[in-house]
Amino acid sequence: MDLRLNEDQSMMKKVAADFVKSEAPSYVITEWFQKKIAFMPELYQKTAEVGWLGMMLPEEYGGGGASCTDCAAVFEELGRGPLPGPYFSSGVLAAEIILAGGSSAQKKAVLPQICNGRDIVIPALSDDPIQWGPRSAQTRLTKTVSGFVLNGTKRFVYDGDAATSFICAARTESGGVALALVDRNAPGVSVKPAPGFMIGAAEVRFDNVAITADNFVGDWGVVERALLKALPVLCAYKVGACQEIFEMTNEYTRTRVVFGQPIGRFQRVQDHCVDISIHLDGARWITYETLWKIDSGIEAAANMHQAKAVASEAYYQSCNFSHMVFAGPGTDYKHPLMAHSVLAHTLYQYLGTPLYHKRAMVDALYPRKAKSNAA
Amino acid sequence: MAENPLFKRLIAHCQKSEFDGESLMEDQDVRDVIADMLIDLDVQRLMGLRNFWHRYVRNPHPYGGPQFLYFQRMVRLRNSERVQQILGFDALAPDASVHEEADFEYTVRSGPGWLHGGGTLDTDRLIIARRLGLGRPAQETAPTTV
Repeated sequence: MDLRLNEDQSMMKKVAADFVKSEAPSYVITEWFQKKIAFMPELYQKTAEVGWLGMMLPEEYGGGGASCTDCAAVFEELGRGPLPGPYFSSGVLAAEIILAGGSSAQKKAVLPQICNGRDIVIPALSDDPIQWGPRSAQTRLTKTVSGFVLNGTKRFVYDGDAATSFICAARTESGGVALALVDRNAPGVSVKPAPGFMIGAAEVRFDNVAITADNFVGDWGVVERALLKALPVLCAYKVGACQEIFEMTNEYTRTRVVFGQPIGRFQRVQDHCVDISIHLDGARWITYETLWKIDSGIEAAANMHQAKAVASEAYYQSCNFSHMVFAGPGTDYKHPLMAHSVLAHTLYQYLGTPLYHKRAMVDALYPRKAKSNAA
Repeated sequence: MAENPLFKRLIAHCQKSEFDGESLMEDQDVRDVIADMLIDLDVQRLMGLRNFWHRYVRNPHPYGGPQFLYFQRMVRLRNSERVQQILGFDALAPDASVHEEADFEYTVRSGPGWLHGGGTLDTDRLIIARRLGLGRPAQETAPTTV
């Protein structure tokens, strides 16, 4: 038994940490969040050059053939920033969706472009602000004489504004869900950044967008297969974010002096830090176990849902406990904690809430009995 | 996941017990409580695994010991309520047919008691804080093991 990262993973983690420190130090990222800048094209290109986009893809498509744990080691450091941008949504999730469901021609055409950063493919899956899963795909796909048309509005597409194309989940006339690759500049597609206490989200409208059969990437099953490898990487990103919050908060308890002593001497303040440690370590080890199972070829569907639920909750609650320690200054957008707080709220909803994934976890372990239709 | 005797017995109970013609295991409220319980038990198991590994490689985790103890106490307390939420009065009635590790009444009764055996929750938190070096220039180190 060895819980350490291997030598290569440790090296990748260090490279990612150095990259974030030099290219996007905390004060710079804080400023981006303050100005609602969620995408830096030059920085994105640099990560493509380092090989972090599509790094889990096979080498024949321009990827690095990395394992989930390799990829997670990098994303954990990106999360410490927290570095905003479509690194996960295009470089991991969209890449895995196309790998799982795309035709041979689509894979050859799109995947290398994702890896070199020229194409940013963003999954636009849910139409609903609350719900997640196949039922949340409500954009309509209608057959026409010459092909198909898409009609609908995805109100909160994470990283939507950075997209060059979308993977749109649409409801077919027979009630199923189809995934279609849609160019951002196709007639009828419009993108509008979503304002508010979130980052990177945009409203994407599809008004009579014409597509052909060549655009299809599969059905919702493809999304689920892709999520199995992609979600634990997102969880690692959140673990990195929790680690940063933990260290930042602990350091503050040593340096902030009130009533003649550092606030870390007060047990009430200590309690908040202890609570962060519990959330951080819970998320870390649940995530690591999931990654290990996936890389070892062990069934991990329930673990994947568990990791998403725990990591989302951990990131959200770590921010809350940290706010209790930082108090007033922590609520200023010029403070690094606010970047985490905004992102934690956004990622809480992204790809399903903790409640959704807890239920999916139990459903995976103890499937419900099919109800009889006999009255 | 959660290879825990109490949890396994709880699942078995929910699968065979019915209310209004339906297995308890089909009830969404029951499933939600089970999800929370499962997550807590898995985190507890993994914290224990982590601590074991740190000891095995002679590299003590700075606050792993008191953190595990603290979390375990809280899980036992939370689970004592969860068992009652699912079983109702059955959770309060003694059942001498099983070992206490998987006994529902014992779980509910002992939850509060586990909070202070071998030091209180506050003691655990204080040790964690000292090992983290909160409010101090230096961190206390964890005891080394042979």
